[in-house]
Amino acid sequence: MKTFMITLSVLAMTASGALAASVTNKDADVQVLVVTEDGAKREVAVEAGASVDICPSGCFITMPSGDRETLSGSETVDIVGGSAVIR
Amino acid sequence: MVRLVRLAVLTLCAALLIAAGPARAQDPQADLNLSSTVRSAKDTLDKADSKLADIRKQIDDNAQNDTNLIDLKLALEEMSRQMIDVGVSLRPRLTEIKSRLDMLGAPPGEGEPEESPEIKAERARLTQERNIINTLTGRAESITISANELGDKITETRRSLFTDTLLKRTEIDGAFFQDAASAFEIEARNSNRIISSWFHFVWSFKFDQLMVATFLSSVIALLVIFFSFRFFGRYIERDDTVQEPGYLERLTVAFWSVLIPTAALTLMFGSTLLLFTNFAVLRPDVSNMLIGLGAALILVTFVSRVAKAILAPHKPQWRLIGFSNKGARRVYYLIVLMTVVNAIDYSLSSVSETLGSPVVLTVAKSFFATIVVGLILAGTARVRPMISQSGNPADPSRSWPRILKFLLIVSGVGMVALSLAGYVGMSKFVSEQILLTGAILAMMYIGFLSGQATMEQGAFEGTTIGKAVQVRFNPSAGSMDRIGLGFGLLIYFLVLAFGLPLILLQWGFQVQDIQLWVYRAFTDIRIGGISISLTGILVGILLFLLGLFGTRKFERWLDSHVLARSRMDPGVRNSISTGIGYLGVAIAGLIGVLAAGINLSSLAIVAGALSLGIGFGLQNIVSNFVSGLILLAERPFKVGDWVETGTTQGFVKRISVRATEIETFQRQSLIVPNSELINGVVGNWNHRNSVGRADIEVGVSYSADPEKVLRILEEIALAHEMVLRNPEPVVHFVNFGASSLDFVLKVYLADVLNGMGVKNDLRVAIYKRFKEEGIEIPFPQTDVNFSVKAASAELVRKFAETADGVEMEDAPVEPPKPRKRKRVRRAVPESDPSEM
Repeated sequence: MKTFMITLSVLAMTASGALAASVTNKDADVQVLVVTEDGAKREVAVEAGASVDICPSGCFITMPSGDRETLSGSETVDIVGGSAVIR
Repeated sequence: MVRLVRLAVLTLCAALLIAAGPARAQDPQADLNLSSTVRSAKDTLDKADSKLADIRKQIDDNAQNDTNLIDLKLALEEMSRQMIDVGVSLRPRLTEIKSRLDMLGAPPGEGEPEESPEIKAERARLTQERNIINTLTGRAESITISANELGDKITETRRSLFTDTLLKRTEIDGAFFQDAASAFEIEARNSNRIISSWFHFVWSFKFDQLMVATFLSSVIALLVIFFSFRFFGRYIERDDTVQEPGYLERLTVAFWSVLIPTAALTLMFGSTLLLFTNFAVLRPDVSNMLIGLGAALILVTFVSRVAKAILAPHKPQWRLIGFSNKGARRVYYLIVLMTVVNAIDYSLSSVSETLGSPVVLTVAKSFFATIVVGLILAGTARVRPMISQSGNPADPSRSWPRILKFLLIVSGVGMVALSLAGYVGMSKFVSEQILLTGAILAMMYIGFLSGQATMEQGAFEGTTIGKAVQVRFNPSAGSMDRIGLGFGLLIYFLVLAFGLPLILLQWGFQVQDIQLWVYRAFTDIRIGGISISLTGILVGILLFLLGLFGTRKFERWLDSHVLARSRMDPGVRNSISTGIGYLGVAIAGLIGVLAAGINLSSLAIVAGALSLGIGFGLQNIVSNFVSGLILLAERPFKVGDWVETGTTQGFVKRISVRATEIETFQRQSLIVPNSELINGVVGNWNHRNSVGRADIEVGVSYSADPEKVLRILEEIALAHEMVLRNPEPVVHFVNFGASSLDFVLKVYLADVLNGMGVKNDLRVAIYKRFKEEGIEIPFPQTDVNFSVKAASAELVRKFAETADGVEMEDAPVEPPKPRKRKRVRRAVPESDPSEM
């Protein structure tokens, strides 16, 4: 019982990164997103085929296609043709 | 059908657009059939924009008011969250538009055939709406940026507000005192006028309300006093008759004697204020002054109560620290004096604030107050409070520890110096901190000590709650101890949960600050890129525990209600309920992990990393675990079976995850790792059935008739009711022994566990029957030959006369008779039924 509790809490501590939104680039080129999180703008480059975790507490993203998307923080986003497909 | 209608509407819209021409295109939003989400998003953004402007203005207006600044900051954070929500609400529409545009395809390039005007119009319309949504999201984004900037500005303003109050310097000179004196004169006159005018007004126009409110508040005060003394009286009063109160008792009294009077006074004051306000007896300015006065009273009560709780100036047996009688009394009075000075300063400040008196007056009051407090502090250092070496509190006492004395002098002299130098604000801050933070810390210390004392072995039983628990639930000594431990930890937690916020409030943080921290701590702790949600984790753990509890309940119910009635073998029942237990734990764990917001895919990474460790380090444990599962599924033995493994044997008591518990016949518990039971040879007496064979060896003399013996033995076996008829008992004539004819009687028993008893019965029956039938059970016989040489003739003759059958060397006599009998049969361990 005690072991289970400890194991569970350790797992919870190690694996809580899952709350952030995960962005995967399905295009062949590097795509650059403009992410506004906590009132600060920054650019995030996603390599082709790579995926990054961003903004756990919600943010605005400007996609390469010019579309602006809003993430609440738990979505999975694919970049397809410079545009976002949010699941 | 729906699609058809939609197409028709779209076509109609497109037609209208074309018909409307360039004139309508100037106002794109008006002619578009915007969806309701887009419209409401636009409204929200408009509102947010105006609110932002409003907050910007308010920040400048409230630059001196810390509480309002915090409220503004909270509003800004709320607004940022709202903007995210707005953006998210627009997403479905944007996705829809994008997919429609994808369906329409790219516009035809040069030289390609023209597309139909409907499609062209549709594309234009969709693109336009897409742009509008993008613009709206952009606006939401810029609002969050502005909100964040304003939030930073608020933080900056608050920081400078704090340092300004603390570091503000006033020139202390003749003019200062003159200004203060004249301001004081005006203030005295004003307050006199305000209070008397208010009183005249109330007396003449609101007499009834005044009387009702006074009556009601007196009733409330009486009730509070009555109930607090009725229920808590014995915890507040330090009983003189008790010679040596226990440590926990002293702590309890100390704690309650602070808490109850302070809480009662606050309650009384609060309700009186509320009543007077509700009956419209109070004016805002008068009530402000009253609040200042009440707060000062509560402060004095609290601090002096804490001091009394720890020092117990007149009752040395209740004292919590090692002070002498005289020392404790002096320190107590000095602390009370300091508090009173501080409280007067505080209530006078609130009067000045209400009347809008010049700042110089407030500064002057605090100037005197801080100097007095500083002098008292420095004076406290001269008291010799520590108990003497002899330990008798009545003896002459010793001085403070050097470091404490030094601190007291430094802070006292420092306060006086600061005030004289003009830094009255800082001096006042220090004086308040020393008193209030000191009192709160002392309270927390008492709380911690109580927690510690509760956790001591056997201390919990002595407490009131402990006694109540004992009467109600009657737990065992062990669980009582654990409850006491849990209770002590609970006290620790409560002390921290109440004490820390109080101290933070004391240090100038606001309630909203603390709320914000707690909120953040529970929803979103960020370390680098990852964020941890405490609530998520707590909910996960809670769900896991609930799942675990439910599983145990279900397991027990299934075992006692369903499986018990199915007349299943106890071992099978055990296997099923254990298996269900594992399954339940696994499911509860999974639910817990999911509820904690942990992505299972990221768990997979952890699992991947762990599997290497499992491969090496946990090999044995995993192998035992899997073996345990195999044992439950394959069931080579069940709980209650009699098994033999290696050198040991016994009954299986429990099959658990890692090991199986076997109890030997000597009642020793053996913990055998499951893998050994799977890999090694395990003998099981009860595997398919419990039939077992018991062998009884018996020897008869050479004079007996073997056929008769065979018959008798078979009869005896069949006569016993526990001996099975099928397979029937057999008797073998196994050997011509050294002194007997050896037979073995082999009987089969339905339950091998009865072997020992049956063998006993059979042996007794055989013995009796053989005696009746005259069949002798012989023993090994030994002839002893004496050869006597060189003995005197007389001795030989005497010996020959008395001993009969002694063979003389020169006089052979009759053949020998048995002289000495010796049993050589092997001893059989009595308690061991395995010897069959």
